[in-house]
Amino acid sequence: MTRGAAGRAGAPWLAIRKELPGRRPAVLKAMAFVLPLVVWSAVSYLPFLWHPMILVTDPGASGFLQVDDRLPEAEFAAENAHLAAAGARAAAGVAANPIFLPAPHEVARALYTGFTTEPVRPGEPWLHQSLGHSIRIIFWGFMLAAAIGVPLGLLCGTFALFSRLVEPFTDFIRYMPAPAFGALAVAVLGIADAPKVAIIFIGTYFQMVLVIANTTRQFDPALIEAAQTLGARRSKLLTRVIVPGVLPNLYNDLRILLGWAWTYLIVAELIGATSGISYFIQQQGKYRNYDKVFAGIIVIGVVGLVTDQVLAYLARYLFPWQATALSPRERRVRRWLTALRRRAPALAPPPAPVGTGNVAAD
Amino acid sequence: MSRPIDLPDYRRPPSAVAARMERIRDRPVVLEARGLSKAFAAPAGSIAALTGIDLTIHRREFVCVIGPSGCGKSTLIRLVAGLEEPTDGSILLEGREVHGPGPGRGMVFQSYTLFPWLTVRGNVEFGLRLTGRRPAEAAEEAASWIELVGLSRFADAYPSQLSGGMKQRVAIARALANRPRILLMDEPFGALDAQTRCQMQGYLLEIWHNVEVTILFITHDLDEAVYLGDRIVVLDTQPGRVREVIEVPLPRPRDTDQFLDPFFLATRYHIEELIHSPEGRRPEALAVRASSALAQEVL
Repeated sequence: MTRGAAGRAGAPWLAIRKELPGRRPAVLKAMAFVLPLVVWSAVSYLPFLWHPMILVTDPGASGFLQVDDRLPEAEFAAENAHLAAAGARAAAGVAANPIFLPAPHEVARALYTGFTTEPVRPGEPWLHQSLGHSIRIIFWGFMLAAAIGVPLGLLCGTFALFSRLVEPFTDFIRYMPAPAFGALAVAVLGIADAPKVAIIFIGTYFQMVLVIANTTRQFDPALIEAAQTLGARRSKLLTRVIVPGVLPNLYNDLRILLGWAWTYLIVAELIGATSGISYFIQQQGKYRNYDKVFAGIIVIGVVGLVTDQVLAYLARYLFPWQATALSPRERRVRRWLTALRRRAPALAPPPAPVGTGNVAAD
Repeated sequence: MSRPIDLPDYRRPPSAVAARMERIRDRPVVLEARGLSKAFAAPAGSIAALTGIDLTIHRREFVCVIGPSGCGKSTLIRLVAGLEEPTDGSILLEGREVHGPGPGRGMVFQSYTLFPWLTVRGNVEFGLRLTGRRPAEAAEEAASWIELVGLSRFADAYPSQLSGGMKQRVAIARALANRPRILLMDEPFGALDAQTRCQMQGYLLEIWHNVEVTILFITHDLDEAVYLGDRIVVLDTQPGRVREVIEVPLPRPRDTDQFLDPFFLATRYHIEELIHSPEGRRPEALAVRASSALAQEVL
């Protein structure tokens, strides 16, 4: 072992506002997921830890016990005492957890079978179809909110006129819970997907305007002044300075708001004709298939996490001036993205109009 | 008051310097401030930051503004830049009254203010593109300005990858690329360490020597003001007004050896006196007031 490696091994685990050395961050990141899984497995597979229920394997001579019944230990003991007193054959069972806490392998199996088994009733969606439906609802709701909310937020953060006109009312509506609009949305938009998109929209749009307005207001005014002394006027200031300047923060705001959209999804999907992943979870809950309920919840978590990680990763290419050092492979991807941007003129800034000298305009 | 060493009169420069000042006065006026005043609103009425500033700057002149902190140096340059509107008075650029900021008056700020999302090249091209250059033209012009400040190797770097001195060189190139009539510099080297600052002063003089530009330079550093300026405007505090305009009795080109020139020391000494004993508040007067206050407290 080299001296450097030894030094790292001896580094403190608790250093205020310092990144951990070596592989520790990666290990801890993995542990963040492994530890809860270990706890879950321990509770599931070690009978002496919890297991407050008895899963009946043989009802014996009992009149009401059946195979696969789950009941509290005390009730099971009472029934067996009752049977013993009557001289009948005792029931047999194994210690088990309540039905709402399936073991990891059961959930894993449910995850797999959820995607591979045909729906119970013909015409019902498959799990992946439900998930696709949910993602579509989120996508349209969030895109509509962003299409209006981002420009309006930028205007509010830039011009006092828009801020004074828009923000007080937006702030007022923000306090109304989006689900409260459910009945109204169905009455106006019918029972199909439209009211669901509307709930996602209502849940994110009003927050978005205020958050983005605030982000825009925090933009360094000195940069605006610098641009003004370089000849930038109102519209150019907005498009060439404020927008590119706030873009990284705005992108992060949208990432956080996208998470909010997922929290409104469950409510949105229960409005009108129940659909999507929530429908799947609700149905499975009704059938007491809690392994599948967990599978559905985990699917939402995974989709959310993956989306967020992809967006975070993408930010490093979109905003290279903020990026920490990129690996060679990452640099290749960036070159490719840059080439793509060059080929798509819509993404490039518009050419400046050809004008005359600068002093005359000054 | 007695001086530690015998110094020449700063008002009697060597004849070569006097002749040069004469030539500068004959040049056309680039910037003129007439009766410039600025008051800021405060809870108890308004506070006058500047009152009745008159200033005339000739072509290719290097004018420094110096004064104690709070004298309104920054307010003055922000008024000239058009970033603030004066309460009274006017600013004329080549004889025409100007309102609001514009590319004819370039500005270099103490806090660099480079656009972090643009590379060095992008920053220097920024103004060129706004004032109507075609992309190829702008790129070519930007490249030559970047070369002038010696940063060609860093043309594709982002500001976050540059040192403070390099950032300020980019800021100078960016401002000069617009070919402003006057370059306004608000304590541009105030955030740099002493060594870099000295280097940057040399750079600036070199650039000013090679480029046709007039400079109005704000500083709180006496040596910097005397080393760089043709004239030094000394401001008085509360309210800010012109205390004295000093013609620096040093020949050009300047170099750091002049820091020991008797005329340099004389000028520096005089400004120091001006700044440390503002009119109407002589040290003796302050001492008397302080002792009487003390006496009252004791009684």
